[in-house]
Amino acid sequence: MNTSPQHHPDKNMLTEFAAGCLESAPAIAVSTHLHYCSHCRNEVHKLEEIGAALFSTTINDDLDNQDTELTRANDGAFASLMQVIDVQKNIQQDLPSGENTRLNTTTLAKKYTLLPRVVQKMMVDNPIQWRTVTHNLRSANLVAGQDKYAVSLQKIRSGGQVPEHEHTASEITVVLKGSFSDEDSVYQQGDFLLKNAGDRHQPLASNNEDCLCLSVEQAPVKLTGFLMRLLNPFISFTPA
Amino acid sequence: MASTNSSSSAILDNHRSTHVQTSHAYSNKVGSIHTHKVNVSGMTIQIPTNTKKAPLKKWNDLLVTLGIAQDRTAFKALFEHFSPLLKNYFIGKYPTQSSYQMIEELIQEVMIKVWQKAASYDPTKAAASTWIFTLARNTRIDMLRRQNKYANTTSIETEDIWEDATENGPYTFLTHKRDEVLIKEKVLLLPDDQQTVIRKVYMEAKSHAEVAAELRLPLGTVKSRVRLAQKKLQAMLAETKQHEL
Repeated sequence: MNTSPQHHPDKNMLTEFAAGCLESAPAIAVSTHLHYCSHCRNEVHKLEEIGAALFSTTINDDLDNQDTELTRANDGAFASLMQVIDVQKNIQQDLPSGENTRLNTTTLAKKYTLLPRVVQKMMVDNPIQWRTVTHNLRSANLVAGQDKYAVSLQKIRSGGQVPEHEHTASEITVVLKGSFSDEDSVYQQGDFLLKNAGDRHQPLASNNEDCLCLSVEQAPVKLTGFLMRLLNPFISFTPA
Repeated sequence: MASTNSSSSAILDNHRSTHVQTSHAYSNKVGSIHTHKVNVSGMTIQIPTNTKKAPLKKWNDLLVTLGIAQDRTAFKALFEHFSPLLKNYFIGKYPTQSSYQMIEELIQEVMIKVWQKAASYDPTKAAASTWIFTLARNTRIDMLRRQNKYANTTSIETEDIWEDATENGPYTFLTHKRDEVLIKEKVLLLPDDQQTVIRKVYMEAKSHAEVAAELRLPLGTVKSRVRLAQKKLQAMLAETKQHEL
């Protein structure tokens, strides 16, 4: 089992994910990690059970009183609910089976079909346009339907080293393929790495294959001026 | 009050197989629970109609029945139990009077999903309350994503990121006769400061940072209160599971 991820989101982030209050871009990173990590899937399930316990425990005890008036209001709501369901059933019978949620993977290169569904969808929605950041690092912006984080694919050439850089905002990296290492550790498929503003590192891809990662980078807060941009090739913030 | 273990495995088998062999999905010894009989491909299923203070497993069984037979009585019992809980849940995020109409629509949206997805509900992977909690959570996220002006730039659906509880849940999940009243007592036993914080995260959809700002607490304090509350609730849930074995 040496392939199961060793680096996980912390419990607070998993809690925000399970509670549904994590913003969608970091949630995509967590979801991508969950695709590879049964340990965290279990963890999220336990956190959802806690949600269910809170959901089932109302402070307001009025809700428990099944007086006749409430029951009558319920009957009305239930009747209109069933009406909607019956109408929808009739509409659905007239339609061909729900194709709209099916992902058309034929447009994707075969090597990507094992990626998490959410990543595949972003790759299909818009053509991948690789941009050379440094000799060893290429990057392609992805569209995730929000404007608070830059979501992208990052590809490090096999055996290639990325120059040491300081993070200007927090960035989540999830390894999709291959592996890389930095001063602290080795990161393999599914590993989840959070770097905060001010953290420095110098990633090095393993020799046997290119390393493909999903990156979710928060909008830099303080960064203004083009001088910083000239100094640091990693700053090309494009939220999407 | 509680139905027997053999009846619980019977209904699981029924759920999986079209060869229905058991005639009683529910034990007859259900005490004060009134039952209603439905016919599912030659088999009689008894559905409790008096749903107060019954074990949580009952909701699992009702969902399974709904999935097999599209039974409206089962659905109504689920509706009567869960719609007030859903209302309470959505009020957490949308507390103003002006949201009343929207909350009614959100409740309806969740219940429609319950109806449509009941056939894929797997009681060995998640309790009914956990499953419906995740449907409600995802409906709330849907709502927020729809309000984002960038929403239509992507084909990503909420369920691509946040799966329903039974899609990827653990296979060894055990939830049977967990007592609703017991869980409620334990939740209410949490110290106020922990309860406030964990409710804001789950019920009001506030991140730890937002809770910290609102309550003027250090972020670390909020995080540790959430973790303490989780530890206690998780121990409690494990305890109620053991009672069931």
